[in-house]
Amino acid sequence: MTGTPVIERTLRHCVRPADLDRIHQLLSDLWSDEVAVDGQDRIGFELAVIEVAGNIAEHSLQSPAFECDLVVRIQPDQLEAEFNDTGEPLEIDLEATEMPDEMAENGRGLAIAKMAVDELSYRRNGAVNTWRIRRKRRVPEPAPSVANARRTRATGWNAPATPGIVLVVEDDADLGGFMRAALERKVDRPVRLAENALLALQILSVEAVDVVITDIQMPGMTGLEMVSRIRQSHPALPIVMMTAHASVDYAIAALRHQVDEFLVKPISAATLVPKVKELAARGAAARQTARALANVDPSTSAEAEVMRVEREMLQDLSDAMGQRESLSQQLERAAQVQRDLLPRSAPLLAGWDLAGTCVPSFAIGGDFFDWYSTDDAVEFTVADVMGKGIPAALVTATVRAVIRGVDRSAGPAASLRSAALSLAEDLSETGTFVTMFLGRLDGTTGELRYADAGHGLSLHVRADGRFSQLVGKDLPLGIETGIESGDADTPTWAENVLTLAPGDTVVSFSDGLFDLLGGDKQAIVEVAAIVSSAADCAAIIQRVVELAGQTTLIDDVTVVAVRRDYEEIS
Amino acid sequence: MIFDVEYPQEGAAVITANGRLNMVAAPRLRELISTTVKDKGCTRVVVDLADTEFIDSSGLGALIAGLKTARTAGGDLRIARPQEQITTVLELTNMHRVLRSYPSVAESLG
Repeated sequence: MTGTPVIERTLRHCVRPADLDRIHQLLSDLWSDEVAVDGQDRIGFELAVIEVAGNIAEHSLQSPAFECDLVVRIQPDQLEAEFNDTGEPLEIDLEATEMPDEMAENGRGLAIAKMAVDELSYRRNGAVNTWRIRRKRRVPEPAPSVANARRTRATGWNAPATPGIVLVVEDDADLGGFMRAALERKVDRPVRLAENALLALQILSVEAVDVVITDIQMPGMTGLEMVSRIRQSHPALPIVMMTAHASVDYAIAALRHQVDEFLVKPISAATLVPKVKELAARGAAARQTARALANVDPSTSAEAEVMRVEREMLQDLSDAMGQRESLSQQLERAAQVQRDLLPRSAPLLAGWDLAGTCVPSFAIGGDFFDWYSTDDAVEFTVADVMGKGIPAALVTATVRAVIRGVDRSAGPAASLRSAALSLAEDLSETGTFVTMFLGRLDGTTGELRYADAGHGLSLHVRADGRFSQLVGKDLPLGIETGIESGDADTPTWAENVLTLAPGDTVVSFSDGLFDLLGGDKQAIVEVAAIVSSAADCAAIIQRVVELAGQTTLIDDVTVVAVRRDYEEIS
Repeated sequence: MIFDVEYPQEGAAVITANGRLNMVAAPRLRELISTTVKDKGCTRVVVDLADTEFIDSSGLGALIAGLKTARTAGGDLRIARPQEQITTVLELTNMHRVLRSYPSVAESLG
């Protein structure tokens, strides 16, 4: 691979008419950096950029909350510019744009721009107008370039941590464009788009990259292979992996491949931006440390001391990398522990069919269910701890342990109250809340006593298919209820009773399943249909697991089902 | 962009344009030429572009408007000492046929 330089500059918050001079200045700075760009290439390119900017500036006068960013890129073989603005959509047919006659006073702008470069395009992308300008260089860059040497010199060891670029590797042009637009405004760095892994590696070999965001599945080299390759050349570079085809296995594979963040599509700008911002800052710092060591001249003792310090920093960095390896292993292990904490099988209760499952959306999560067996009754819990990942998992394990330990003799509502008292401080300190369904099933009478703490997603499905929702009006655990005041006479959670007739089923599920089925009333109907069409509770679980496996899980999917057997005819 | 006007001969004006002739500066040049021709009675106008580093479509528009104003008044508008960027744009737009360039201010006045 040749050391071909790509220089990129971004100008934010243009273009009002007064900003035209800022654009001229940006280009003139670029030309002085890039002595190799031919004069005619400069003239043609600058002309097109200014004409388009002028066109945008005219429209900006009419839009009060107008924003526009310009990115200019000098490639070895071409010059590129891209404007993205938030103005009104434009009716422009660039194909039909023609140069007016010599005596015309107006209407020449876009015709000039079109003639001055090889490509001029306008596109409406969602709420953004995108203008692209490209001029092939008549005199391509000689290699190695003078500009490149200048750049290397400029980044000496005491140089400030200059921002690098954000590299987005995404084969879907629309999504890539969205991410670029979402990030470029907010991350204070130019964003470059590579449509496949090879292009990305090429950019990495010549550009200062602060963070890579990559799709997991791409044509050619996959995201995971690419990440392995990047890790060899750029051990400290933060990497975010995205996928539309999430599964636990993928997540773990990604973690094993040293990814810093794993995001499941659809990805919102609100999730993406802060994550990328944070990682980019880390990437820039790591890049500077690495560069610092590479550029030190050990000719004086003071510099030798600096070099020693820098070397120690680099060592710390590589230790941190080692720790990251171990962290991802620990996360994997934590996921295994969490799976082990789920019941392997349902308890046996004469005359009843019981089953439950939890399908995590990520390696570890905040849902759990549990069974508690007594002589002639079975209690069960379906709970969802707010949040995701390790923090949620820690609280989940605590809640599970507390519920297991409460005195259950006084019934579900009292159990819930007792657990809530034990957990109040922990939940308040961690700012977490927990929704929970706690049921006690009497095997002989068919009576189900239950308490519902903000869970609300339980159905009583009768043998004939009719169903009703067990509506809970009580708040989740962790929401301020005044329970800490210790007023023992005021029950915070109501105890409800229903009786299951033979063939009746009660199913309680987390909002992961509710959302999976559309998150509206129809989802409830679908759950009821799954329940009544299933031959037994195992079949209900199997159907839910199938559904969860078909798509991207945004949240954990947990379900518990209890069905009363038909009475044997003796 | 800074404009400067001199009156070297009776009925003639030389406008020096210093900087970039884009949509910010163009309306002012258009206005200045109009004043020079109509109010000052200088129908022969020379725009000295030696220090004009950049021109775009709006700058060209101002020059054409000035040319029309001068010709309507029985005179002419000529440009002197254009830099490479300007000659490139004039050729690109075929406007070198109507906006004649002269290598010096003296020749353009001649």
